[in-house]
Amino acid sequence: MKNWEKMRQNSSSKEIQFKRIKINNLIRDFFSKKGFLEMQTPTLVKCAGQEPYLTPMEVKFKNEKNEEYKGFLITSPEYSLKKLLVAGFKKIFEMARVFRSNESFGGTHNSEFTMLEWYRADSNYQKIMKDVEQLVFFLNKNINHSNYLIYQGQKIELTPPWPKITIKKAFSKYANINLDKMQNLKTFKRHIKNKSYFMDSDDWNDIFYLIFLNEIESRLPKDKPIIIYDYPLSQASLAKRKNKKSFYAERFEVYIAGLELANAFSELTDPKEQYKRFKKEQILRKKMKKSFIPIDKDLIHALELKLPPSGGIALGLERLQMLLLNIKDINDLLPFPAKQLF
Amino acid sequence: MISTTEFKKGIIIEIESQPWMVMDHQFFSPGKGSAFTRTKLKNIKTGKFVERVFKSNEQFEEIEAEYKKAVYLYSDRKNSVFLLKDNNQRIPLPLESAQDKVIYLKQNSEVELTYIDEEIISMNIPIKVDLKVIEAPPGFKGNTATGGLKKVKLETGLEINTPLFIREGDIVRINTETGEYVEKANN
Repeated sequence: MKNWEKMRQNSSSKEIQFKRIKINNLIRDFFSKKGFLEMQTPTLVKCAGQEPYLTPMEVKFKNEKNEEYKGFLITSPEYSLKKLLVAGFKKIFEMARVFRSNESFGGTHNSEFTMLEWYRADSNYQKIMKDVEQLVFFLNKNINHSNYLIYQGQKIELTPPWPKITIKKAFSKYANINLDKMQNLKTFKRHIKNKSYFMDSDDWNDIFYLIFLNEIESRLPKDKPIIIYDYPLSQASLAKRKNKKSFYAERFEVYIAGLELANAFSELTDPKEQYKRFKKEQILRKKMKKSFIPIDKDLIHALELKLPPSGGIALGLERLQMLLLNIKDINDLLPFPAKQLF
Repeated sequence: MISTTEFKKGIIIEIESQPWMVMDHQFFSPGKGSAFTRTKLKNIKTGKFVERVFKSNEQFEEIEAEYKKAVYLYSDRKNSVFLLKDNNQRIPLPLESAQDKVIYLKQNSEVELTYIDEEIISMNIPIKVDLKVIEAPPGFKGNTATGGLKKVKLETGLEINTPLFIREGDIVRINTETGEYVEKANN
């Protein structure tokens, strides 16, 4: 039975939808009290995100003269929101519909989902860490009337501040690996060649993730959220480097109950460096036989006009709703999950 | 070869020459790296469970297993003997490998044998079995030193801890994975 049919039969299953709306309204309250403006940026764009590991959906359409255009559905509203920072908006947020191909229909993924993004000009990722702690605490207080959350039987204390650990420390603490010494692909590969989860890969990021997922993630404390910060630069294309020669960038991720909830950084403001990184990603996309995505020159132009030092974050809104409502599978949250549509 | 995207619950794959059954699998993509597949695997030789994450589209050798129903007949000093249901063939299994399961089996209890390449790899027995208590000391009120438990002997010879109210002749339900008393079954 489809979810909308279930709701028709059993009125209590409508409750989830009432609560989702309540969460969204509370998010708007939270940001408007802090002086943020809610933005609406396009879903259909000419240049999608360049991230080599994402597959945006292509759209072909025509104007009134029957001339054909090719565009993409956004995987994140980030490029547009950054242009608005350059335009002079200081504190902005958006709940944007985003689309990603080649992901599963259900579990923690759905082809279409909502990205809650917010940006602060004249700021950095540390301020964003505080925002996300306060937001989740505030929402849970209003939805579950408590300082903690119970998710799938696990009690999670949400009172800020949350535990924080650098990715470098997490690797040394839980996997006994000094990431500083693993910057070279060959050394890294040699180090883990006897692990049963490692088949073979020539991608530094794959090896990084295989270790992270098999040896670190499951050992992270679960009774509180955790913020992991300062990721390798190769996984932070739009983030500011820690310092000129650093291997790491000012990026953080939020995990709650093992669920990756949000990804944030201090924004890269250097147009030349950004162009170089986009080029590199374009080449990597080609190598991985992914679709060609033009570089968003408009964004580079915006950076040339000067983006103030800024912090920004992308948070999977449905995952947050799942956490707050104790729902394990996104197919039980959405009224029309992709699995029931296609 | 089978790819992670074709994983189904119950298929058996080979990792480092060991047969692992896929108990659970989930796709996920962190966005900053390739897509991955989280799995829960059970080594069907040893019964050991592990959680592993593989890169999506990783290829594995799939192992074809065959499952045959059999009933338990008896054990002697060396072997436990089973009877295959479809052809009445008698199958002796060495006591040392079968014993930890046989202690839950009465005569004629049904089991499932897993074959890989004609060789028996494992035996599946029901998760819960009902067994009769053949010896039980009387339960005394106020005997809390053992947490309100006492040791009883079951018809298969197995000894387990039960609550004090269990008496000789009762039927008790046992979890064969934990070896623990679950409840008193209806006679």
